[in-house]
Amino acid sequence: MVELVGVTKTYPNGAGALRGVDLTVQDGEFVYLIGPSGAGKSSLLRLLYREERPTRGTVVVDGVNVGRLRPGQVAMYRRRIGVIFQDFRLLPQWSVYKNVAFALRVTGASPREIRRRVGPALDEVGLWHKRDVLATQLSGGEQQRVAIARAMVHRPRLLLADEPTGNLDPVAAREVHRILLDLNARGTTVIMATHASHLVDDVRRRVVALDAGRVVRDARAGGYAHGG
Amino acid sequence: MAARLLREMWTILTEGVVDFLRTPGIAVASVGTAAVALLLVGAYLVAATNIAHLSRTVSSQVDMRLFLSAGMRPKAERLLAARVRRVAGVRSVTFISKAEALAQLKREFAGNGAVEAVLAEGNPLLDSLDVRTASPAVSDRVARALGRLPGVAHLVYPGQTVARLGAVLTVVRWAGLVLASLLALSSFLVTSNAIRLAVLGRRREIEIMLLVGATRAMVRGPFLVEGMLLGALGGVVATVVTVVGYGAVARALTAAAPFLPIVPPAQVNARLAFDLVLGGVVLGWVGALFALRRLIRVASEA
Ligand SMILES: Nc1ncnc2c1ncn2[C@@H]1O[C@H](COP(=O)(O)OP(=O)(O)O)[C@@H](O)[C@H]1O
Ligand SMILES: [Mg+2]
Repeated sequence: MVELVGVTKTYPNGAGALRGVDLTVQDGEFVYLIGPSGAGKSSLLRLLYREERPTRGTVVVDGVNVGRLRPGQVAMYRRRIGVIFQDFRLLPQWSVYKNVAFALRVTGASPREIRRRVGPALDEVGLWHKRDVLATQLSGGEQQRVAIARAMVHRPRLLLADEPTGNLDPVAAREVHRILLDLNARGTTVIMATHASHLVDDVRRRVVALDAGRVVRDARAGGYAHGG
Repeated sequence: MAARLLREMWTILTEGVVDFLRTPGIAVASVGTAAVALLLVGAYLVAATNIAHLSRTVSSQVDMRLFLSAGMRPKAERLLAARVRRVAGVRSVTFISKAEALAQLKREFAGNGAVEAVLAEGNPLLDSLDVRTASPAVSDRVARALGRLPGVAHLVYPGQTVARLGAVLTVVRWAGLVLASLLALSSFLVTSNAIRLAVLGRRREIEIMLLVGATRAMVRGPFLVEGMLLGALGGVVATVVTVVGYGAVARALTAAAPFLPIVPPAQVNARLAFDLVLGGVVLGWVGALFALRRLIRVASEA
């Protein structure tokens, strides 16, 4: 699903975010990306959703050489992946429903298609009953769940999460975490950057640790490590 | 696929209009500047059309007219006419007696009390010769030759008027061009600033749009629509003001000086509307394009 080979990312100001990263993620895997602040987790995810291009090396996602995408091809590519963030990035003055429908509307989906898809997406995160509530009136955990529904409304096979529980209290964090695990159980590949290692310890899944732009640990409780 | 494209275009269009209505103060300001700039273009178009019309009218009339000295004998007049006819470059010569000239003048000013009163006091006119030249190119030379002939009281040579009108037209053209460019520039800046503010006001929305896979056309389209709408409305306002203004000026001039060849407003209005609205659309589009050039990228990174 995801393959990074010799990926280096140096920002124009000279900051080296990633240094020679090799990483392969199989279809259907759940990967925790951990490491201290500044390790390069967000940079790695930004390469995957083509917010940035690698300085060196190749990034391939679902058969697409992401670094080679021309600007005009980025939109279509992004419809194939979902992304969520620590700060949710909802439009606060809009209802829950409208926030999720927005992702479909801006890609030219028909009103019928929008109605058909938004319901299940909100059901999946347990918020259909709050569809008419404004985003600002939701708790942080609920906002992140709306963001997940929006990310999943295109039915992507890969979901990228950059510190999705970073702004949440432990209860809400556990709820969001559970939803991500559920999505993964139903087939979505998930890469979740986090420094909340207590979440990671709960579950026996693959953990990739970054430090100063390098992969310093790649372990899977189940056995085979260094998947690549 | 076609339906999807149509829906995208519809969304772009409605978003553009909604965006325009969201900040009415800014919208009014940029429509206003566009209107002022285009109004000047309109005034220039009207002036240039009239000057061109005037010089065409003048040059289509007689090429030159020689007024004969008062009290000349008919025989001397015939001799003079024969000499004029022999000047190189002259094509035809017509004798017009002062009685004929008076009759024509009376016909032209029928109903104009002031003129009729003057003409009733006696005939102040002179006998004259209407001279047509072979081509406008030789008119200057012919005029000089005829001016030297004895018995010619004076010579009216519309070619001079045409040349002077041509000079006026050039000045109007340049002054209009410079002024209109300056105003168009300011209007362009105001419009592109309006669009810039609209983009900044929606940066979160844009960021999310790009994230969930909206095409660049979908992101930029509404702002281009908004810009073109601003410009088009400016063009409409400018058209209305120009049409109403020119209508009034034309009426007043026709009443005061009926002999002036004014271009009938009905003849220019459609062209004015087309030029000004199209000009506005182009202005708004370019302004929006300029504002979007870098902003979208900045917005998506913020
Ligand atoms: N847009 C950027 N421009 C310049 N430097 C950046 C940018 N984003 C991140 N960095 C730098 O790259 C390094 C990795 O940052 P980041 O990927 O955000 O790490 P993490 O998400 O693990 O905290 C840091 O040193 C950071 O300062
Ligand atoms: Mg980060």
